[in-house]
Amino acid sequence: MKDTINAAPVRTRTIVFGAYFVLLLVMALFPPFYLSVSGQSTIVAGIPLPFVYWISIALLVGLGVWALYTVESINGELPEEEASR
Amino acid sequence: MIKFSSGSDLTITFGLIGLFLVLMIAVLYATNRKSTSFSDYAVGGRSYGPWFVAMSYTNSWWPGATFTAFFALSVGGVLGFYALVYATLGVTAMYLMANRAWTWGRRFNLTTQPDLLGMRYNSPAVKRIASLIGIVSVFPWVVLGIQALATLFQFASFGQWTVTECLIAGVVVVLIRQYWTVSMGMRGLIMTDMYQGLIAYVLCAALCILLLLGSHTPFSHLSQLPPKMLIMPGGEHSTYGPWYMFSLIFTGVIGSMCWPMSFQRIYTASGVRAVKKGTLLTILLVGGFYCILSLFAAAASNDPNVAANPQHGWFIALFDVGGPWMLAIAIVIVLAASIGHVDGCVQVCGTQFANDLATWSGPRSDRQLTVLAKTGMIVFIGAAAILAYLTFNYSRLQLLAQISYQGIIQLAIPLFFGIFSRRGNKQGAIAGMLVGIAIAIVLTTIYPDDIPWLGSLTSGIVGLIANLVVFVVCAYAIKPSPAEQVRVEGLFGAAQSSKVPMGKPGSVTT
Repeated sequence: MKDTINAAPVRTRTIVFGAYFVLLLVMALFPPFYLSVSGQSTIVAGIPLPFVYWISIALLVGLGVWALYTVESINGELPEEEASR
Repeated sequence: MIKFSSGSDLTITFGLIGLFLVLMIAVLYATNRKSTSFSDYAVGGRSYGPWFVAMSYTNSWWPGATFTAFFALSVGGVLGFYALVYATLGVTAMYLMANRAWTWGRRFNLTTQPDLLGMRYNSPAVKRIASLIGIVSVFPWVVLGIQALATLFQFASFGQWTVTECLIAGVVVVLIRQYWTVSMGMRGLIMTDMYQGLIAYVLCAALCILLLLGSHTPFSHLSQLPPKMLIMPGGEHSTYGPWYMFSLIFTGVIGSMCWPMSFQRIYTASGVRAVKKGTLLTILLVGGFYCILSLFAAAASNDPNVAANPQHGWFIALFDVGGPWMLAIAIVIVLAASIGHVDGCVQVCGTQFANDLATWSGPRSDRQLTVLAKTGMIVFIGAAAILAYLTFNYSRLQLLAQISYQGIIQLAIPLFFGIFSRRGNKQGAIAGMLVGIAIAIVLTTIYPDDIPWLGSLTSGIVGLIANLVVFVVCAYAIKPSPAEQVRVEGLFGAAQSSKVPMGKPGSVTT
């Protein structure tokens, strides 16, 4: 896994993560997406679907940033710092 | 104000408030360290790790109104959850801009967001205009924050204190707390942000989970919510047009890094890694806390008292569950959030006054800057306290707060272009911000909420579009001098070189 991440060209990574975050932004911003679940009473894990829609976007944002951080750490792009508080 | 029919025990509510304040002061004294320079005073010597950055950002992000206005939105249904999305998407920008913002900050000893803009566009005018927009936009929120504390004391006194008494109590608490904000600067702020954050967000989230597992506001109620709570604005039968939610969320996303106190958290970090890891933790704190609170609010809508008074739903729900003790905990949680937010606002405005505005006649020594920052904070909080007292029942203040949000996002164009692109110039930055904010002010005065004939777009978005057009036109019409091109290339090159992977020289990432 680490080798794959190390081997991936920076441009590929930028495109993958860029597309991922843009997709989430589109899902959050554009009416056809969120209005498609508006008023739906389907229950997912005990929570109504419209609530789950927003929670999922937030969750995916967090996972995306975590993945990006992991990739940058593996590639040694995050310099170690002096001991912090 | 809600009247409580039984269980009025002021000893419990004021006892817990007193305990909270005593512990806060103890934290301040235990961690007190004399600042050795203005950078030390303004950004804590760029020395803090990811948890401190995350908690400090969270404190500066969620004001006390999260437990009143936002709680009420979630009691009403799905609309309240939009803030969850814009909060998490917005803070992602901190991750993406971390490398350049932090590296430039350390290299040029930047202490504020306008400082970065001034450096990037090589223009003191850009810095001062951005700083003025920031200070003016933050001001109504401090006034509202103080007034929210008055509401809090109304609950703590079970409605027995008069409005004036509550307001005076709120002002006194804020003024006393600011003594340490002024004297200790960012170090005191960050230490108490950790303490306040643990109460306001971590304790609150844990409490909400416990209550959702109980019988009064059960999690199972979420699966039985009435259909009207599941409808988002902008649909067929909505009073809003299709672009209303877009405007709310987009404003929140791009606005997150425009708020000067949020951006300044980058400079408190000990390095790029701390900012990036701090962003991860911030998403966890900001999103996790708000998600749990909103689910609790929606579940609490089955309480008739909460449904009848959603703005005060947080206090009512907890009082209904556990009487005065739970009400006291609810009050302390809101107090912690409110104080954390007001502190952040006061600190950054004082710092910006000294660093960005009071340097018009030439550079100042570290000692002069520190004195000016302290003076700025005293004047700022004094003015806010007086205005909070004079305008307690002035409904137009809410409008000022709305205008401020539409105004602050006008910083987004020079900020995002300045960090992510080599294009753009000071003329475009200045003209764009001025045009954008003028449009935002005029349109918000006419259309405080949305603009119906534009599909419910908000005034800030219209201002932002004009701002962008002006910025881009200027970028293409006014060519930079060769010296300026070299300077900007140097800036971006410096930030890139700090990203070169260790052991892989030359393998530069974007």
